[in-house]
Amino acid sequence: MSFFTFSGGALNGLLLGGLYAITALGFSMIFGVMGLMNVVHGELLILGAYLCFFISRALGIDPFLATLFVAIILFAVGYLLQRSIFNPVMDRGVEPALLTAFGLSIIAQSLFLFYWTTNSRSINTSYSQTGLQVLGIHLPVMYLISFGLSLVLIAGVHAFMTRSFLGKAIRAATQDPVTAQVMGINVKRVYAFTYGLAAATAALGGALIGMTFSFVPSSGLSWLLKGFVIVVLGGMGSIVGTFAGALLLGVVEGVGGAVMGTGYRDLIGLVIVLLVLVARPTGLFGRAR
Amino acid sequence: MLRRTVQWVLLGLLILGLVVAPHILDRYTIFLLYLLWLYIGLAQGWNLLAGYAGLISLGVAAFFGIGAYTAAMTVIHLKYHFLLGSLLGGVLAMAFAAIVAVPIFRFSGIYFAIGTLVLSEALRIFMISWKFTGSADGLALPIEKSPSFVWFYYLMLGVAAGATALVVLILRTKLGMGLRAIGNNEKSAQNMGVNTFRTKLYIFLISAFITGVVGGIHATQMGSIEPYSIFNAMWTLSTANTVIIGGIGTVAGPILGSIFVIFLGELLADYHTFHLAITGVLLILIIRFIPAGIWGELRETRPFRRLAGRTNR
Repeated sequence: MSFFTFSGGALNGLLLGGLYAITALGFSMIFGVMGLMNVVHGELLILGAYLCFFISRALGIDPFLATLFVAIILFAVGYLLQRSIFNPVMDRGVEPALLTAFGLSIIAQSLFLFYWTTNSRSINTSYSQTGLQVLGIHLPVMYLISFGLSLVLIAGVHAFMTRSFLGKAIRAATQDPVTAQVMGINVKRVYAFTYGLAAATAALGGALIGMTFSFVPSSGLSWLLKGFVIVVLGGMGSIVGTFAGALLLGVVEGVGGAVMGTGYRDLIGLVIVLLVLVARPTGLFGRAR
Repeated sequence: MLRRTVQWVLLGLLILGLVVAPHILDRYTIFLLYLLWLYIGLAQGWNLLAGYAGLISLGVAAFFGIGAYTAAMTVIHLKYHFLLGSLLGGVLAMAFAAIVAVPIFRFSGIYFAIGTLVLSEALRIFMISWKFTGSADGLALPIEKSPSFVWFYYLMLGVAAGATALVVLILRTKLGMGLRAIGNNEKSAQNMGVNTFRTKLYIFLISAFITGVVGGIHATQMGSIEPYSIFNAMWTLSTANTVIIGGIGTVAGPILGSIFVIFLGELLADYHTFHLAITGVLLILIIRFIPAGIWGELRETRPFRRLAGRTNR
């Protein structure tokens, strides 16, 4: 294997890691803040992709502009889901909420299938299929855009969590929900807001998935699992860790795909996560929760 | 004394009915009953893990699929009888469980759930690419080898009854006692001298075996298998759903749940596209409003307590 295949795979993987970070951010936030393993996250991403697809087509606008609308819609969806469906079962431990999310994911998948059929779709723009040649390595433009956006988004969410009042309230509710409640923080509302925010990031993640790859109603699961791999690699619930984990997964997949062939690409991440968990159950960068 | 007699007579009538059933019912109803036994088998295996050991597995499809593929491969290539193939399917599923048990038990509670989901998805991706097992096209079993349909009815009935009996038996042994202690409070169980790792491991293995055997038999019954439907997360959902609707952590729950789910499926047969969505809604509602499930609620009512002749459990 030539040096170029290897370094090309690694570089492309690193850039793709930015996209992975955006798709996993919401999953990581929800897990970090309320300990909910949100297995419906993949369907939120795919819903974002579908809405972006239809809104940008219907209004004839650029998908990134459409994503702004989709983010608002998904924020509302997420807020309401947490308020009406998750909050009531969250006092009874983690399993009921997990199974509820599992149920939601099945409902979402069958509705996608019913309304939008099994047709594979992708969001096409004039730039989404183009690429740059850098030192003989082909870099898709979408990878570069995603990487740039991921830097902005991760920095933005990090600043929001550390600087803003609401971000501090979220962190307080994360560390100790009971004390936060005593201190006058409406923990249930904080949870709902967090879910909404996570769903809004899924809007961008979905748009990028749609523009870079293609999607079908059942695509959510593989993206959910990528999110899980990233969160395990990066440490549960850490935003910077999520970014690091995503880049790592991107590189490993890129190199692995170049070496072993693309058929086993998705498998590599899943196998690595099992190996990491044998050695370090709290993740590569994580501390015990 | 009279109560005991009534119970035995009812049980005898039930067995007689189930044995005679395939000779008087039409083919479609026999098939529904076959599916019922299949669900009961899977549900008992899952309930053992989730209901008693507190380990919510989202990887039913993995063990089901291993069983199915093992049976198919041994029947095709080694010319084994499919019964032996299905048994081997269970054994291989169990072996797989043993291998993954160490990393996967690092995940406690919720991590276990998604860890098993990762496993089954990794297997699915692998099987789609693996040429040895026919990759995405799957495998077709030799038709002349497969016995009549009534045969499968009895076989799956045996598996369902066997799985149920196994659960009842396990609950009466020391293993079952430890299991219940873990279900109540894992830390104090450990303090009281229960080897929690070993207990959970054994339960995990038994559950994998049951699931694998069911998968093996179902593969032979279908005659051809492919990775998309065999490793489909739908198997996991239906199983979890069945147990939760029926009553998690009870022996009768998986049975009642399976009857309910099959009945619901027939009711919604004309609305095929919405079947899964409605099942999902039902799952969410049951978790929220009747977490004990159908049997969990029913057994608290007076007639059932009298029939069972006791007040607890």
